[in-house]
Parts: sequence; C-alpha cells; structure tokens
Amino acid sequence: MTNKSTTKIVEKSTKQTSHASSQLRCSSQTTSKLNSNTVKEVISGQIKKRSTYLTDAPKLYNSSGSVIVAEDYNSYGNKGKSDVTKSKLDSKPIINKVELENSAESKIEVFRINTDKAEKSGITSNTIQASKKVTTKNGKITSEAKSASKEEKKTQTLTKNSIVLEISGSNCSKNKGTSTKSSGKLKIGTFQVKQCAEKNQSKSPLTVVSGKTNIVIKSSLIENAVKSSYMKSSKENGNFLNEIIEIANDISKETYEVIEETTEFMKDYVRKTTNFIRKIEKKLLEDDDKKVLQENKNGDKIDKKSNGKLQEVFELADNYILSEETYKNHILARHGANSKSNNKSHFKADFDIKKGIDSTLVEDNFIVKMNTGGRSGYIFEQKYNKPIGVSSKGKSLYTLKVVIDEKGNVITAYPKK
Amino acid sequence: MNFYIADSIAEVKFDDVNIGMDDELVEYLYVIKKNNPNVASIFYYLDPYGDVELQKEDIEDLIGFCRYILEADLLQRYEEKEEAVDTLNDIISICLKAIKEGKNIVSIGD
Repeated sequence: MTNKSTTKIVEKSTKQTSHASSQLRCSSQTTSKLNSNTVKEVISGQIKKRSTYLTDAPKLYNSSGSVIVAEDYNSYGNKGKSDVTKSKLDSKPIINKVELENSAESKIEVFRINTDKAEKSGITSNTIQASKKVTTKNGKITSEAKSASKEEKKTQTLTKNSIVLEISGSNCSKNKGTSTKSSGKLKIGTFQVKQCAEKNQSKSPLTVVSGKTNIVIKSSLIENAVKSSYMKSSKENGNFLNEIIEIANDISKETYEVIEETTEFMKDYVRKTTNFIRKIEKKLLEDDDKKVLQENKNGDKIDKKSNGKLQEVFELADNYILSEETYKNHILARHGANSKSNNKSHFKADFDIKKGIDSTLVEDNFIVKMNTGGRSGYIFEQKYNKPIGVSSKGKSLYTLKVVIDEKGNVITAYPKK
Repeated sequence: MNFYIADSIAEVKFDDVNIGMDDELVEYLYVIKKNNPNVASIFYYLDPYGDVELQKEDIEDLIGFCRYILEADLLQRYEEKEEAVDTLNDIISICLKAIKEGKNIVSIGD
C-alpha cells in the first residue's frame, strides 16, 4: 500500500475533464474574480505548450489564451489586495513571471510564480529572486518556495574604454526633485552628487539606494568604439571616473544592506504567495457541490481536519473491496471484452481489469474527485499511455474510471475517454 | 448510461435495443444543472453507475427534460453537439415508444 499521508492530494478535474465542463468554463474566462471556477480553469486549462508571461500584475491565461485576473493574488499590481505593495521598499522593478505548464501526456502540471527584483547600475547589479513552484502530478501537489539573492560586481566595466551614456545624480530630499541631471555622451562634467536627506526615497527602477547618496548610472562597454578619445584626453573626466568608481564601491558595500532588506521582503512575498497557493489547493479540494475541506476562514493554511478528511479517502481507496459479484455481474457483464451489452464501452481483452483497478486506487497515478450529483463515494481515474478499451463507437479509450462508495466498495470500473 | 424499454430491471437484456448516453454528456448535463439550479428533472435522480426503473410519470418528465435541453439550445457548448442532439432525440423516441406500448424505461448505469 502506498502511503499518501505525506502528500497533499487534491481533487483535480483537469485535462481529462469532460468536454462539457471545459466548454462551460470558457464562459467564465474573463471572470475577474478568483472564484472556484477560475482556479479550476487555471489548473485545468489545457495549455499544450509552455507559456511564460511577464506582466506588471500577474495574469493567468487559460487554454484559449484569455486572461484571468487573479484579484486576490499577492501581486504588485494595482488590482492586488495584498499588502505586499506597502512594503517599505516600495519598489517597482519587480518582474512577475507566472508560468503554467502542463502536459496532456505526462499528467504533470507545473505552476510557477517567480519574482525577480533586479537593481542595476553600471557598477553593480543585484538580483533578488523569489519563486514558488507548484507541481501537480496525477492529482498530487508538491510545492516549494525559495528566495535567493546575489550580487554581481561589474566595476570592471567602468573603464576608460567605457562610454558613459548617462549619468545622473538626484537629490533624495523630501520633494524628490532632481537637482542636477546630465545625460548623453561626454556631458559628465556637470555631474554633481548631492547628499540624500533620507534613505529609501528613491523611486527610479535603476536607482541604487546608498543610504546617503542616490545615484543613477547607466554605462555600456562598447568595443571598438571611439576609444574614448575624449576620456583619454580629459584629465577632468579621468578624475571624475575615479570618483565614480570610489562612489560605486561605497554603493556596492551599502547595497548589501539593500539585499538583506529586500531578501526579507521577498521572503515575506514568498510567505504570502504560499498562502495564495494554499488557497488554490483548498479551492481545488472543493467538488461541485461538496467541500471536502472545512471552511478555513482566515485562509492561511489547510487545517489538519481537512487533511484528515482526505486521508480518510486515501485510506478508503487503499483498503478497497472488489466483490466477485461486482466484478463479474457488473463490470465484466457490462464492460468486459466479451460483454453482450451494446452502446457501452468495453475493455480490451488483454487489459487486466483487476490489476488496473488496484493500481488506480492504491498507487499514485490517479485523479480523485467526489461522486457526481452529490452522491456518496469517490471517483478515481487513471490514464494509460495505450488504449485499454474501445467506446461504443469503436474509438480507443485510454482512461480507467473506478467508482467506490463511502465504505470503499468498488461500484464499477470501465474505460472512458 | 443506457435506456431500455422494459417492465423491470430484471427483464433487461443487455443486447436489447437501447439508447446509450456518454459519460461526457451525462457530466455536461450535470454542469447545466449546476449553472441553472432551477432545472429539475428525474434525470438527476438516475444513478450513472446503477440501475433505475422509470414509470410513466418519470418517463414523461424525462421527455420534457430532453425537449427543454434541445429547445433552449443548451448543448451549444458541447463539443459533439450533433451527436448529443441525436442522443436526446433518441431518448425522446424510446420514451414515447415505451409510453405507447405501456412499458417502462430502465436506465442501466455504467
């Protein structure tokens, strides 16, 4: 028997969902609220190729390419309700990347939420990353969250061969005004650096917050360029470059503080994102009419009772009972290879039905959902790589559907689309 | 799920003439119910995995349900709409035949 207790398993009416439900869900593609339907749509959307979306606010796309806006997503967009936007860093250079990937063949879905915070200047480039990866495989969800930060020093790029495209200094006073700004080649002579009145006043995506000095530098190393004839000939600029390098070193040191602070911020983001994922997990556990989980009012985590309920289902499946009466007089009589019933699907003669039932209920490769129409019991489905049966119209069937009652008795099993 | 003309479940022979309804169509009709809670029919009391005997009143209800689905064009989102329309029309026909012959309808689940 497989121990499923350590893994969250959810009802997942995914890729193999009926045409009916998938069709109807299309009608809610533009729904702007993250309701149960949209969550299911997100998870069950049949995206056959991996898609990556870069957006200001995370947008989730379904199989038709329509956008589903997750308003209660922990986003940085205006629509987000999360207080992430109130972070003390209040930074905008954050790229949200939402990826949804699934495969009809492998029954594996990967749902990633990546957040990168990149701060760049000509001297340093700092990247703080946080990501949440959720993998669903055959109804099981595993998730991992991580954050990381790194700093790349690029002081070597600021050499005499560099052409400084833009250097600007801004006063970080409360009025946020820019006292001096110079841009364009070779206009660096007018550059000034003023003291910053307060820390973290910066609003520019490319600004490095230094604590005292707020400076924006964009530089580019251009090979075979003009060889910086002006730079070489200008003592003034040579001195200035040295000054810049010195400032850059200061910035580089102080940027560590920013990294630490931002890493904390990103951890907070990951935590909030984790909560969001848990909400998705919780919603997935809701069937059409019944909620497997008890209502979790604060939405923070799935309580133990809820997991206990799932555990009951898995234990029920692990200890299923298949009576000979059901096997012979129901399953074989109606769906066996030699069954006389017409207008029903039939198993292929070489398919081991009992073994199929056992692997569907006991092993990990299954999808589970509540019985239809509010009836007691559960439906387990397993998809095979090769046909296990044929439909009444002669089409090959790849999915084994097994229905058990609330006591674990197998009610039926048959091949379906 | 298959619909047979018979007086009782015991009387049904699996190789008799019957009208089969795909799993997908059954699920689709349940989704219609979910989206339109006011839709009520004996259909939703049929067990997709068990056997149910329908008498005249229930048969008439089933006919009305199939006609409603067709007339309201609620199959428009179903992928194999034409096939589904044929199925519902076939169910109406077999139900009318059962009433005419004074017989019952038995639904045999999967």
